Amino acid sequence: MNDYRLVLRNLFGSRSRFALTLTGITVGITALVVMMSLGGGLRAQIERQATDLGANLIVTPKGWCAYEQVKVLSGNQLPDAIPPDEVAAIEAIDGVTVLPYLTVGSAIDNEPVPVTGVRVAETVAAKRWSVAEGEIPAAGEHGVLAGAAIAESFALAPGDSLTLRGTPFTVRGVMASTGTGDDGVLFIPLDVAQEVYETSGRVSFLAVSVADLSAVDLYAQRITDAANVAVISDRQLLASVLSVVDSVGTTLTVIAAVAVLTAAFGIINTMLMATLERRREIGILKSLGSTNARVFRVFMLEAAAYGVIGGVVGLVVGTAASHIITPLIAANEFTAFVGGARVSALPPLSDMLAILIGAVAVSTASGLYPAWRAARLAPVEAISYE
Amino acid sequence: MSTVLTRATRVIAVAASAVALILTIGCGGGADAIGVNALAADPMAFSGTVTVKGVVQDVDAAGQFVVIIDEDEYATCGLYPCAGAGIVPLHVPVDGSSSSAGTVYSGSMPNIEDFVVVVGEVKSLPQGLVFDVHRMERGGATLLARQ
Repeated sequence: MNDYRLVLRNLFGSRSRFALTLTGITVGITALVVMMSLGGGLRAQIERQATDLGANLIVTPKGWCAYEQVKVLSGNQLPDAIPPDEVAAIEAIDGVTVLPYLTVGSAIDNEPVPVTGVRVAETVAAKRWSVAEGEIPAAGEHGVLAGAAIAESFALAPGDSLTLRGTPFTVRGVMASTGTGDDGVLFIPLDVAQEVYETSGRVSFLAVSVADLSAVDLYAQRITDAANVAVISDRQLLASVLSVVDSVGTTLTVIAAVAVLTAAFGIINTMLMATLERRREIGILKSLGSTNARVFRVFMLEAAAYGVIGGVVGLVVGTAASHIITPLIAANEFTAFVGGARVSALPPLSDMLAILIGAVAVSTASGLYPAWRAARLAPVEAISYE
Repeated sequence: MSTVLTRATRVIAVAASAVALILTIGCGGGADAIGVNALAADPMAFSGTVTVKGVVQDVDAAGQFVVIIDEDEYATCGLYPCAGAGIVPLHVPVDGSSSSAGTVYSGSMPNIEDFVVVVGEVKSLPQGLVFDVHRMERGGATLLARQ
């Protein structure tokens, strides 16, 4: 009997033990795939939102916390702290196009909703939004342009009435889905937002596009010379936000890796039990001429088989689970805060292959000690074991 | 040293809160609680009983007022968030006197930096909008409640 047939016979000799041990590593790999899917999805979503922001420079009040920088991408409520004279000074700089944002909030049916005041026509053009229903509200009008997701959530359609800060508004239009956090925001004209929310002309931040991309640093310097503000490039903002998200992603992966490690101890236990139960068999094999190396190899192959089978099953189950579980998790406050509901992204093929190789490596390593124990057994002692 | 530790503690609190939020979706009470920023943005938009979660920024010496801020603002900016962030004062005297909304409370005041859940409703009074507290909880236990 060759080694592989021996391995298969030993694996399926005790089907319940095989199933239970396999379940352990399958669950660990599944958890790893789901956690990596969530982390990768968050990263992809944030990168997309940074791109869709359509700005080369972001102008914020000085002294903002990193938390506020994250909310620039998500459209959530921000302090209104850039006064109108500074906005005007920045707009007067040659070569820059300024889009001011006033991010505030309200509620519909007692559920908080983000509201953003923008120069609607300019923002629609700059961000290449398309209106699925109705039209965009004009400046000075108490009209709302609803994001696709929020319109669906609250069944908003052109002509519907809303009340924001005690002031009646009318839904003028509903945007087509952008796949970003903008889908979950109600957009109103900036001047109306400043009036209703009593911000005295202040805004939360400015998205600035520059005419000459090669001179971004020069424009940033001109902006800080003209106004008492902080300037960050879109790449710097992205890196700052991703540093937070990546740490969360790493934490999730570590948690899942602990599950895999726990499964490894299950394999060690199973293999040690197998060593004990098959002492006579090992003794007979050695008596018939099998070397210590062969016994060692057989046990190592058994351990590796758990990794291969468990890894493959875990990848399949994890892939399916990601499609189901990740969107549910993404409806959570934190993930909605950084990127919205769509944060499911399967790990790339290279990562999936690395997970499988890792599963095999962990399982194989788990079999080292039991295999060594089995190989060391003296034939006479093993045969006489009862 | 204490500033570094406090900053490091807040960074850890943000990461831990994020992980906890992701992993505990739907768990426990307060799943429908809103943040202080959301309430402060448009108080009139909330009707009926509302549950608000926040962090105690201040308790006045006379034991009459509790000021709460948004949990996320606290996690990254500490007790004094950026100008314009939501701050909600709550008139909850536990000394037997009535609040501005005419409510009498029993219980004890929270401590600064306590994470609290406040149940109440927005009322429009002659002096302006107030959040009339029904009860305040800390760690699942009721700290003070209207009599």
